[in-house]
Amino acid sequence: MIPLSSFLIVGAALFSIGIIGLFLNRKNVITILMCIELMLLAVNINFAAFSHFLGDIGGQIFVFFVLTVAAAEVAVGLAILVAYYRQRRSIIIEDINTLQG
Amino acid sequence: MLESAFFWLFGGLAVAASLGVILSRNTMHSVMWLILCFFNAAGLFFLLDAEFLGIILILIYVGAVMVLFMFVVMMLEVNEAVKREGWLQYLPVGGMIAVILFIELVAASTSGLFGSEQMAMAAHMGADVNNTVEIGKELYTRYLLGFEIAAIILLVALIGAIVLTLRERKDAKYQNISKQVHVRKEDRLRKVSM
Amino acid sequence: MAEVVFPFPFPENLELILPEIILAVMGMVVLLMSVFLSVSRQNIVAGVSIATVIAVGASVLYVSGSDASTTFYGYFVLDPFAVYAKLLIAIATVFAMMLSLNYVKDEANVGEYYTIMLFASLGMMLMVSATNFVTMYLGLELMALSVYVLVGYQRDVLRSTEAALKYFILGALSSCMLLYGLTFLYGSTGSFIFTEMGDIISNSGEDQRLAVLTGMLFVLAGLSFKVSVAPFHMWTPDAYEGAPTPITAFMSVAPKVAGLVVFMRILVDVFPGLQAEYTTILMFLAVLSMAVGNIAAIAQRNIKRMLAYSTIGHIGFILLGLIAGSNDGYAGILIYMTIYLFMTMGVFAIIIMMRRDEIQGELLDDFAGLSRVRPGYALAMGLLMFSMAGIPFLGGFWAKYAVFIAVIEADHIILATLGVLFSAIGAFYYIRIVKYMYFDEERVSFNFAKSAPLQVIVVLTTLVIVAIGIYPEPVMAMCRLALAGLV
Repeated sequence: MIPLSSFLIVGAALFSIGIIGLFLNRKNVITILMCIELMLLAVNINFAAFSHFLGDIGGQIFVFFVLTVAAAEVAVGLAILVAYYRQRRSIIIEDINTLQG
Repeated sequence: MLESAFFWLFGGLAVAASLGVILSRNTMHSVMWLILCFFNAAGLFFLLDAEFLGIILILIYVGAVMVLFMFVVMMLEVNEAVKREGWLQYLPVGGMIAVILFIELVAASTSGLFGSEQMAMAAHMGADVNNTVEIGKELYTRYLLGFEIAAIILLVALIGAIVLTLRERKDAKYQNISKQVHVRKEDRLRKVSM
Repeated sequence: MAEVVFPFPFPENLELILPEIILAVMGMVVLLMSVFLSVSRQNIVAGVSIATVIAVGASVLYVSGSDASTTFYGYFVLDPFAVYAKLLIAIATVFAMMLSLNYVKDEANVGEYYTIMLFASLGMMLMVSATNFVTMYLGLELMALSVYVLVGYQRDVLRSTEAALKYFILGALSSCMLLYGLTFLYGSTGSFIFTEMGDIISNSGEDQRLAVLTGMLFVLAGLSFKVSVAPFHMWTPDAYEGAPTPITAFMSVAPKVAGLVVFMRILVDVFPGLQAEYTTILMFLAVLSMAVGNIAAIAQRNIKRMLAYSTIGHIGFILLGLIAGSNDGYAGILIYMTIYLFMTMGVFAIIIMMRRDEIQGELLDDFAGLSRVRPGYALAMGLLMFSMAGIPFLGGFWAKYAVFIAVIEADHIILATLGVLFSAIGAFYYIRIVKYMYFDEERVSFNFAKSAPLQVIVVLTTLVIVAIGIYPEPVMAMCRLALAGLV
């Protein structure tokens, strides 16, 4: 039998790799979106694992909703990206400057 | 034993593929790595008795969402060179944050009840339990409201994506249905007195 | 095939969800109407949308008289707290639609604009009625996706699409954080229902503590992003500046109301056992928000950016009410949100009127000499700015007063002192605008857009702020009554 914590560690690894990816590819919007997908996948693995070990199907249903929302999010995100690309002819995003005047 | 072997295979490949996503230089290769990652995650779902989720992960994610990604990557002709810009600059900060986060998350994941014997043993469902039916029963009763909201979320995504990207080309000819329907006979027919 | 036995009967008391049903159906009706109406008659769409939201407000009041308060097996609640929040959301949506009347007239796709606005307010109404993380998460995402699209609605303007892109990335990231934290809370409790989770967390032992605390940190971080609490405020200035101005007005009020209501419900219902821990975190967030909001606003030249930082500052003051953790504190939050709604909508109505052919009317310098050309608007703007600064006997004063008194009663004297200090710093940049209007020379010729809806909003909001300033008791009593649902 595989213990619950093994699944959670896979989830933690995917989530952390997603975070590193955000830092490494902070100018390429498509890769940023893929990193967000990785983090959502980590969330889904955690939910499915807890659902199995708690014997409660609610966790699986939440995964179902997360997948639905993530698909909708990708559609809207890529549409915004295409609109941005048409204006700028590139997908490089400038750093988000908090104190810009 | 066999189950453990499959866990290490799927889990290891999922993590390795996710490293491929963030490290590969070519955006298209990143998409391919992400597809591999999703396949392995689907394998993990099968190990967790979540067959329905494993299948929709492959059908919806790999079949639709990742294809959309590929489509956009090809359409936008992303320049490869930009990807590595500032790569090393952010590696120390990002790496440090992520390593600390990882250690913290592993600590939380193995602490208390999650690491204990009690949670570690969960028997698999019998062959007579149909995962899809079980999900359906709950989804259409207790989670009915959520299901309805999810439908509207998809509608908003549909409208939003169209509004943001559809544009009428000036060089193409379109039907103006309203104009066609409201046409009067005077517009088309002219009486000429002889 | 064996017959499937459903574990639950058909949900009862469905009438409670009537306002949401009206919004969802009318959203689709408006979408179809705009297809069938000719281009010159698209303003009918706007009229129908505004009427819909007013009808929704009325139906909220109508169903609030019902004996039952929950439906969908307890997954949807309509308590006085939710009713009050829904009324605020409906008012904010009506104002934002009225502000849009002239603004989007020239844009294509008018129908979709109002449809998405209706769906955004549907998402918020579901959020404030959520008793569990399923309804809350889906409502939140419905709202967030709609607002991303609305921010990028001017797709031919680089500023608008860039703002939408930045807002989208950070918003999606914050949802991930929220969900990841939620997995730990679910793992520890096996439930998504706020009160059930709260009971289990309060009674859980030391061995669960690390997992629950990790979950709480991530959930609070995710929620803080949505209500733009510092240090999670990075998206706010860019998104406010780039969005079409009516949408800036909309997103600076309605999602904040919905987000704060969810924030309050989660803290009160899910984490009663961790009050000491979350109060410490909130103190840090509140002081940082007040500092960032009030100090960074001074450096801004663009009034929409300035108002973005002003929002962050106001959210910092609102968090003081959560730190107090008392009924007075929570009532203070509701009072603050009510008054903030009217102040913000009034200011944005004036900013939209300033828009003219070539000038956006968004720079602070554009207000120079306004008092000599349009003394009426200058007076209204002046009163709203004084109210935002918290000058006594205008609405804004009572908002700040309510949260400060609550936090003093909870023995956080240092926090209250810091709050007064930052509010004095904040007064500087609000009053600076009054100085521009009354003491500076006119630099550009004014050419106000004449629009009855905008004039109505300016007059109405200014009157409300003055009236609440003189006689605040009715609003305060209403907010205390609304709390019955929360505690």
